[in-house]
Formats: sequence, C-alpha cells, structure tokens
Amino acid sequence: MPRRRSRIEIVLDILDALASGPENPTRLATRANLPYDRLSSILASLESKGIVRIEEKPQSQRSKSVVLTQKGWELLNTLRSLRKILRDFNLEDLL
Amino acid sequence: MTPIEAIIAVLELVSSLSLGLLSARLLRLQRILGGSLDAPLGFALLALSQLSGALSVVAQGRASYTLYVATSALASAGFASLQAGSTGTRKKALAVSPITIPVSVDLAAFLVAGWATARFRGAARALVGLVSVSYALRAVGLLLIPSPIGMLVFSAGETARAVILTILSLIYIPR
Repeated sequence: MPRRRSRIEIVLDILDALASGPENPTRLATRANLPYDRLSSILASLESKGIVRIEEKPQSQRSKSVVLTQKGWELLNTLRSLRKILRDFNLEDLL
Repeated sequence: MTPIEAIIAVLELVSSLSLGLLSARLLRLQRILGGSLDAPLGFALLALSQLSGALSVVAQGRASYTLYVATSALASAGFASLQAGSTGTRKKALAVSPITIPVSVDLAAFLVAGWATARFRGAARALVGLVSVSYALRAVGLLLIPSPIGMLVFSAGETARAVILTILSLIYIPR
C-alpha cells in the first residue's frame, strides 16, 4: 500500500512539476498525482503566499497556466536541501 | 587544555555552526510556508548548546561550570522544542527551569533526548538516541569523579556527544 504523502511532499511534487515550466492545472494535477479539487485548494494557498502565479493564457481566456515565482524557486531549492531532515525529524506536516 | 579537550572543543564548534545553519534554513522555510517555530528554535538551541560546550572546555573556574550546566540545559530545551515541532504539542513540564545541579541537567538531557527519539526516523533516531546515552554517561561520570573510572566515563560521554552531534549535523547540513 503506498505511503500517505505529507503536506511538504505534496508541495514539493507540485513545485518539481512546475520547475520544468508553466503548466495548466489539469496536467499539473496529473503530474502531481492529486485530485483536481485538492490541487486547486493547495494552489490557492501557494498563490496567496506568492509561491506560484496563476495566469490566463493569452490565446484563450478559459485556459490557465501555473507559473513558479522567484519565491517559489527559493522554496523549491530550500525544500530539496532539507528533504531528509524534514522526513527523519518528522517535521513534514508542521512547518 | 589537553589535546583531547581541544579536539572536543573543535568538534563542538563545527557542529554548532552546522546546526546553526540548519536552524537558519528551517527558519527560512518557516517564513515562506508559515507554521510553528519549534523546529528552527530547537536546532538553534542545540547550536547554542554545542557552542556552550566548546566554551566550557576553554573557560576556567566558575565560567566553565556555568557553561557546562548551560550546555545540557540548552540541549534539553532544544530536544524538547524539536519534539514539540514533530508533534505540534508542548509539554509544559519540560519547559526550561533553573536547574543548577549538573547531574540533574545531564539526566534531563538524557531523558528528553531519549523521549524525543520516539518521533524521529532513520539516522536521526539512531544518532539522537546515542546522544541521549552520551548525556547519561556524562551524568554517571560526573557522579564518580574524581575516580579514574569517573573521568573515563565522563570523557567517553563528552567525546561521544561531540562526535555524534558533529556526524548528525554533517549528515543533515543543507547541500
């Protein structure tokens, strides 16, 4: 049975998926292995913290694109360097 | 200062710097994501504890004694804070109190570090468990000093603590 991902692991999976470039939310949900509604609530939280930016695609008003901000890149690098300590000290859900 | 004391002091300084760096990184993460300050505070207290340990080797007389007591008190508070960080709860009974007997403080560090390991995994669990034992050795050694066995046990505990916390800090130092 697969292990339940912590909040930090989910955020890291989302940021990892965005590191290769802007992504639309539906594809991002697939890549981060999340239900769309769960992704939407996490994206709203990340957007409010300035970690991602949700942009309307110029060619279509109905299509959106999620982009990693400078702060998002900083968070991604910090999370990658702290992944082991967060897991071993059981800090993944509380920071 | 003997060569062994000098080595211990250097190891404690190295681990203090590494733990301080870890604390700063966790603080940065906390500032971005929000949440509790327990984890950065815990590592900052452990860094201060190691610094205090290094200075207690160098200092003389009353200053050395004070720093010695502070080392264990700060470590107790640090491990308690890390444990609170991993559970999201605080144990009021473990709040830092003005403990003045070094053996009591060492035993407190032994108990708190041992208790904290229950929430940790992997290398963190093994190494913090060993740090906990090293505090017990410090306490037992101090009780037996000035006998040679006491000195031996005490030195073994001091060296083990310095080495293990250096290893721990180097394993987890952000790369």
